[in-house]
Amino acid sequence: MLRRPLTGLWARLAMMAAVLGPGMITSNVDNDAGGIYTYSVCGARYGYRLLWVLVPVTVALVVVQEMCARMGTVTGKGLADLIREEFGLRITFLLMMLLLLTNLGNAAADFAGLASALDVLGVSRWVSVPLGAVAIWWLIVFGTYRSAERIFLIACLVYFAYPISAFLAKPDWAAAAKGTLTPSLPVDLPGLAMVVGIVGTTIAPWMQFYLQSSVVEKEAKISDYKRVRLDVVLGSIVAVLVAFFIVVACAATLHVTGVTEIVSGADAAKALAPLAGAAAKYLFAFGLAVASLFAACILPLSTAYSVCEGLGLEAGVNRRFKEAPEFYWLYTAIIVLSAGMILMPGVPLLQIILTSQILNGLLLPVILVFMALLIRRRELMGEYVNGPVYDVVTWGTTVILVGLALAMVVTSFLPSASVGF
Amino acid sequence: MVHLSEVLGLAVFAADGSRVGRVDDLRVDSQRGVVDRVVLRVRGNTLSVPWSAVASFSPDHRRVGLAEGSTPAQWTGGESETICLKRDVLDRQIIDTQGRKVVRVNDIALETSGDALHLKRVEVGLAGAVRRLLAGVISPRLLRRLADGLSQQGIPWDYVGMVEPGSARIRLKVHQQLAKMHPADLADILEDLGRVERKAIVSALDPETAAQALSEAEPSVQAAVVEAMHVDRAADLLEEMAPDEAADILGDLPEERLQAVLDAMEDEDAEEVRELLTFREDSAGGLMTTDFFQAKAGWTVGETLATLQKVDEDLLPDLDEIPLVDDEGKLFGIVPLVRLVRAPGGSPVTTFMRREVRAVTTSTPFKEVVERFEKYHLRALAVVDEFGDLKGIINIEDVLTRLVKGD
Repeated sequence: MLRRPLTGLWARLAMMAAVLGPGMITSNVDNDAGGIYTYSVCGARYGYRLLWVLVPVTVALVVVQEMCARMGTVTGKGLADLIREEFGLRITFLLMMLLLLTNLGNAAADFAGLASALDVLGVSRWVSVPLGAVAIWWLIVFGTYRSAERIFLIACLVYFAYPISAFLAKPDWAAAAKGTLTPSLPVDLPGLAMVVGIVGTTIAPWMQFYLQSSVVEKEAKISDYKRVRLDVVLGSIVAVLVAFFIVVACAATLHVTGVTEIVSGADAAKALAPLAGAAAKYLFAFGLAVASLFAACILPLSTAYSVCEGLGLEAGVNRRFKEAPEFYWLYTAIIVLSAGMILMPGVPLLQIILTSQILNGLLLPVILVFMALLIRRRELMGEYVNGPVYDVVTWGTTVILVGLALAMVVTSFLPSASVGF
Repeated sequence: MVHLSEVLGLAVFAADGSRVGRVDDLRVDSQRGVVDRVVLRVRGNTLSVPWSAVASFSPDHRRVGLAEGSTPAQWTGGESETICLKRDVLDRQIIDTQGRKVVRVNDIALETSGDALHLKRVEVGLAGAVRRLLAGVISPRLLRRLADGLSQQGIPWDYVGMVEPGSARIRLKVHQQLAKMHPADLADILEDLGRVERKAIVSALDPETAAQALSEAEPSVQAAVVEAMHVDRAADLLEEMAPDEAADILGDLPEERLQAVLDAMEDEDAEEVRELLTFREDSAGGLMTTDFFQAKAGWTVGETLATLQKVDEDLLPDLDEIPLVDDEGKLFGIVPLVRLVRAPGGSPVTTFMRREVRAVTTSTPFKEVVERFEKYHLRALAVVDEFGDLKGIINIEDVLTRLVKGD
């Protein structure tokens, strides 16, 4: 790179590459085991019918992620930091405990994803889960996370198998378009839970903390803000596009053939058959295993980081174990607990995965309220406070999610309600 | 020892036993380190009484009693030289000037001695957090026993450095304490703080100290800080830096900002920086400094040493190897300082020099520069232009920094 600021195309691309990251990485981690299975189940069970949910979800995801990136750039502080400074220790503590609980579920979902991926290849979960847990623990405590991140990101290219497979499966595009454009809501507990799960897995609460901290860590300047925003918007759109094609691929391969329930990784793998044929299960297993490991690495890390940040304890991978004991113990505990949950005999892997995504959807409105309150404070954000459109989308998403959560509670008391998934 | 968490919310009673309100905050006299007023919440209003009006003070009995005849007065909280513990300190980031790091305040320990309530230390550990969380939920005695069993991490009040975001000022005596810190520690602190706090610290320090601290910070932090500063202030700060460091920082700024800062700088400094900005960052020209000492080839040893006596303080760390130039400014040779010190004063300085065949040009790639340093065991390397004119010097520190921080 030249020291002199450049205006040419290459300079722009180089600058992009330097800052390009937080948004793209976050959305790649977003499509973890929870995401892949939730979208797969959605496609298998409802066909194209729920595709429309992804439209408002895209808008909400872009708006929410952009708010985090903006807060990070303008204040130079993480979300947990800001909540602590503006709302005090008690509220922060409660929120952190909720986040911890939800993320334990998410981390467990990722270990479940790892287990089910390797299960497809005939590897027992008693081998895959402990090995995976030790590997990611070792990576953070003794290794260099940064180098691993690149390998993970390259492996995430597997996601592009879904769009290709979706096209090869020759889906009924007219039905897909109709499903995308005409909202129809199944008003029963599994249906509502499905919608909450899709929102929760796409706009996961932990992502907001993770993204904002990454932006702060990258030291984005206010003059970089346009680039940061582009990264975040593109990342969000890519994430939702992948989700869209997973649903379409599953609808076109599973739903049409009458397979409406996914009970194992092998079922979900069939969605990749149009692309990979008999090798579909290997492609699926590889993609899911890598995605799960990546997320199982970042989730406990991001959780431990947010909790320590909020409670004012030393945190960060560049600190040694002795310098930040609470951080490393918390990280260790999350891995042990979530991996342990998967090793309990008779645990239904898919149920854990889907339930954790619903928990995400329930915590999300709470986080959104705090974000919306923070970003309207002029003493924090200066001229970068929210405009009216953002306010409407944020509060709108919050209200709709609260409404869905309440509807879930109500339907679960109806006599006809079946138990979740 | 009492803690702020135990004091906030205590019921306040007048001398006749009637209830006045609750403790909302404590205002301190930062010079003396004692509480000077108690801020009260009385039916939605904020009032205050001087600490001297407090007759009894007992967190264990959850009450504060006022002396006879004392009435709370209206309080606006606008005084600039005082600190309110809840409003300004609790939950904020502070600088531990002794441990040289940024921490977040969980609780504050106070101690009564005589009539005064002294500030003892700021608590940052788990014990402070637990005390805050459970204050008012379980009995004070039980809570104390619980918290005492946890790790206590506190910073003595005298070593607490606080940044006041609102007015971009640093409070307390921190200013002097920060200025005394090693620039590298100061840089670490800058890296840990939010944008507003950074700005406050950099503007509270004198330009020279701020420049030293900033030179040690990560490149991305440097650019972010300079971008957030007022143009004139940024110019003052960059003038204090070596031109090559100033150029490195400015190179990361957007074009308009870069020009504005250069225009605000002294012409001479700006000119040097402008020239450096034309070199590639990964070349000898981008690495060299133009701020260095050079001797004339015609001088004697005595003349050279006499000139060195008057050399600018900033250049002292880089005087191991002294470049000699002829009357036209062309590089003539290099003479190590140690050899001059041992030589008789009357002899020509050229007697002790070596012909500099290793000099590089401004466009030599960084990789080649590193190889040359390694091959010839150099501590400094002269950089010339295509006509052989001496343009600058690369010191081993510059190479080391670039290697470690990398791009």
